[in-house]
Amino acid sequence: MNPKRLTSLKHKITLAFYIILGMALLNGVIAILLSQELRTEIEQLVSTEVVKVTTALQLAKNSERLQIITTELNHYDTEEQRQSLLKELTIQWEHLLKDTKVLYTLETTPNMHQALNSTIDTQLYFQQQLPLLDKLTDSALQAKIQAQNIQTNLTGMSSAFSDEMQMLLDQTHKRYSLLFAQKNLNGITENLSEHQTLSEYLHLGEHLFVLLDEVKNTSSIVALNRLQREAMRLLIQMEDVVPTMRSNNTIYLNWLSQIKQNMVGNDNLFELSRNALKSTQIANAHFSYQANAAREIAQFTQELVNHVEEEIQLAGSNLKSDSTSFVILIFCGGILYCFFIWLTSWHFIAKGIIKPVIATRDAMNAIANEKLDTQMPITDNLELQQMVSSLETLKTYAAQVKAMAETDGLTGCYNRRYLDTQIQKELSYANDHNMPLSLVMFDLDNFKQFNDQYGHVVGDQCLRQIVNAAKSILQRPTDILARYGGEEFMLLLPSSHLEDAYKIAERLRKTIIDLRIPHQNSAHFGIVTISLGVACWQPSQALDVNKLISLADEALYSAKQAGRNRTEVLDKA
Amino acid sequence: MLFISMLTFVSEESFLLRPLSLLFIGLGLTLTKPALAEFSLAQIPPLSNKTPITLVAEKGFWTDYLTREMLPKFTEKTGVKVNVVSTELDGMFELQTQALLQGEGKYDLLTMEAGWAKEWAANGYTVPLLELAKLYDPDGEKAMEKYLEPYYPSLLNILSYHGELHAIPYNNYVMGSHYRADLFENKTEQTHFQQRFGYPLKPATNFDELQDQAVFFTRKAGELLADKPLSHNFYGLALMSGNKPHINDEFSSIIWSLGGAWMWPIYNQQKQLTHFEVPVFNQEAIKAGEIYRKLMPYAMPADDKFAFNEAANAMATGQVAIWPFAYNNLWSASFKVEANIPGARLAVAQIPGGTPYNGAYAFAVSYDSKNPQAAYWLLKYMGTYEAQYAYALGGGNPCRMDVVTAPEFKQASKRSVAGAFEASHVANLFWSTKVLEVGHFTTTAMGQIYPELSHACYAASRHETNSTDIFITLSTKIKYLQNTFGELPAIDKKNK
Repeated sequence: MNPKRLTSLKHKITLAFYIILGMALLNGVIAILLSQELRTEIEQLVSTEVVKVTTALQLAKNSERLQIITTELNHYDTEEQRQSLLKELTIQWEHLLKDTKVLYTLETTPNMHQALNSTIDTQLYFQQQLPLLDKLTDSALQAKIQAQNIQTNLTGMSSAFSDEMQMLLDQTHKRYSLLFAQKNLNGITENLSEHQTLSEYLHLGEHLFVLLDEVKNTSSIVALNRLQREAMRLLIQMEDVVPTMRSNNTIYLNWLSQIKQNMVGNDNLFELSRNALKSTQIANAHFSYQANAAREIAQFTQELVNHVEEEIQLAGSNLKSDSTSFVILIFCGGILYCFFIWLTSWHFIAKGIIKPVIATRDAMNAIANEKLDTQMPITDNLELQQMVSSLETLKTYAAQVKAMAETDGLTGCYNRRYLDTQIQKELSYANDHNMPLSLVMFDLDNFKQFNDQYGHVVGDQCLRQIVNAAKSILQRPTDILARYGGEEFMLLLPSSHLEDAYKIAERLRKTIIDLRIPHQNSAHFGIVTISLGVACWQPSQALDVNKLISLADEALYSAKQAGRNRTEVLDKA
Repeated sequence: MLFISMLTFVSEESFLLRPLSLLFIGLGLTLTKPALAEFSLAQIPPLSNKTPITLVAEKGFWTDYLTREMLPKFTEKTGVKVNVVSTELDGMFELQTQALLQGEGKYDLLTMEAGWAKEWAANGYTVPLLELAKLYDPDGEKAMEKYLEPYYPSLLNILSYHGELHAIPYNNYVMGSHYRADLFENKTEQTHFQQRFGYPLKPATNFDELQDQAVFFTRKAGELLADKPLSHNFYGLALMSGNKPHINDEFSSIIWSLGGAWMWPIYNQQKQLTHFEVPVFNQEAIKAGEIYRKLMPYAMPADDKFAFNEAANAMATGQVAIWPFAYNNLWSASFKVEANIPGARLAVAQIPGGTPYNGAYAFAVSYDSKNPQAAYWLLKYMGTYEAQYAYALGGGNPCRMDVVTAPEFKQASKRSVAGAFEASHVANLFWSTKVLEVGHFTTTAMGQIYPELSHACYAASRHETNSTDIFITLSTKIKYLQNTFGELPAIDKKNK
């Protein structure tokens, strides 16, 4: 496991500051972005939908204007009017097409797209028809004007014809006076015949002019053709009358020729009128198709506006929803932000600073109270860790001091001072808990001789061997071995009865024997032996520490007196 | 009177069909001898106008017959001399149109092809028959209505303008499929055909069958035909594929049979014709082009001048098995095969697809006639049972049902002239009011449009350019011509 990397508290606080700042900025940026999106939505709503509606209304207006133009194109009298109206019609279609294309780019609904596409196709189709309409209206107008010219000519001709024929009739009438005076019966008869023929010619001619005059009021080709046939029949009848004229018939033939010129051949009255009617009918039909198309566009525009209204409502609803979402999001962001601030504070201040400081204080108190097994706090703060390290050193020193105060420097077992403290504690504990407490005091037999013979260094070594042997038989951590003084030692055995203490004492004695430390002056096999005295405090005994130690000492004395290398018990009870 | 009602019904441009009733009438006429039209030369009243009249007529046996047999009788009866201007069909239109435009009264009785009828009527060049009857007939309009009873409504509708009949048809060129019955009935050929195509060898009812039969009968010299070795190459078909107007008639038949049309007349709720719709992409025309080009390799080799005479001759000289789009008025010409080829036997069936081209040559009185009275009576006389009967005997295809269904024409001895009468009869009944459903027979601008149709069909048959482009261009031209020269507008028909 990798050791945790130490970080400076200042650095951490700086980092925390930056994180908080970053979060604040992030929150702010999110808020700005969301508000920007809302703004965009609103702008789009305004820029798209409003433009749509405006364009659609413009489209409807132009459609209506186009309908009016097509109606006006059914009635025009001059070339200027015709061209002006056609030009306006062309412009109107261009406007419609332009507006429709704008709508097409703005519209996103597939159905509306398709409908707009279809509308564009329709408009293109009708735009393509414009040259044809130009041609038709031009033909119609030209034919109409030419026919009108012929009509004007015929009107003048009609008057002249009637006048001349009337004059000729007057002449025949006047001739009667002379013929009556001459009593020329044949002449009178001939003159009468002449008069009748001339009258018929005049009558037919006037009838013919009336028919020709009716042409301008004729609005159907069938009726026009009927007039043409009737007129032709009258003309033929007039032609039939001419040969019967007795007088010079050149005048009549000339009149027939003049009239006929307007009735037959290229660009005659009927043909021109027919062409004018045909072109007008077809042009008007196309204009009506255009008007219908414009009407359909207007209707479609209304549908489009309705559709846009629905879209606006939907967009408004979405906008409202988005606004609510925005508020909720910002609120959540704020909560999250606070949470992160709390988390950061907790992590960095509580966990990273306060907790380690408290732990350090506790550790310092523990050390002060000589609790040297106290666990040192763990922290990743550089400064705190430095404090902990110092505390560790202090703890080590305290441990060393304590060890020095409690331990015998030669043997490594506890010293008398520690023993005295512990006996007092254990006796108090035994008394409180109604438990026995045993003491085993022992010393090396003839140790003075040993030192004398083998020297103090070996004597010290011997003592250390004895202590190690005694430590080895102590199985409970509560059992304490202490050097009581010189070569005297004491085993403090809490919660041990006398029998148990005796057994331990005997085991120790035998263990020492088993060490077989040579001792020439020993009376026991030439080895180092020990004598032991056992004392035990039983509950309810009125014994203090000194008395108990005294009892153990007395028992040891007894063992010495009894020959050493033995264990004696002095049971006061 | 039933027939009068029907004609009136048709004349009012009611296009609602009554095919069943028409069929019953037709069948009735085939089963029972119809009452002969009562009109005869004797009924012509004394004419006040003795001005000689001039008749324009197509060169041929019929004009010869008229000149020899009928016109002298008319002159004898009325005292009106009749001059005949006998001319070829090719120049007839221009000759008469120029005279009519000048209004010189040069021709009193005009001969016209059905395609010109509406155009001339629209230009005021011809006089409605009822108007003439009202003017000159003692019995007035009723006499004319009764007179017209035996005529096919299909032809009268074609020749009418705004519900007014302007001409009396005399030469019906409805199409039929002329085929070599001896080959179709030959056991060996039948067996081979059955083995090869999996169905019996019978006159084709559709274009796929026609294609099979064209392929089947096309053979090289030396191969067997009806168990006999051929001395020359033999072809399945004769097609009028030259650069002439008649290729358009073949194309039109195919297109109509496919359910299409060059242009569609559109009627309002009052049954009045309001405008025409022209398909932008004429799918049926494109398909017709494909069918035609597929048939051509199995047709008698044709140059640009190959038309009805050449096709009839191909059949007459035993070079083809089928003339699928034959004008029935050329039956007599086709029939010569029976004389030319031993064992050959000619028969006629409805054209594959069942919608034959139709029309008729007709007579009409000109608006500038110097003697419309005499012209009217001669016109009536030339359309009598007697005249149409004589016309039929001469090999023509009459336009009167009573003549077509006359029992004597069912006799085997009359097969040379009347062999296709029954087929023509059925076809004409089929077309009775159906002619009002296609623009071809309802527009007044067909005289302008027809040449463009012919050019386009010829181009499509030669595959000079893409057929689709040809017919798209044609569609534009049709619209332009209709809008420019017609009386009613033409607009795009939206393709579905």
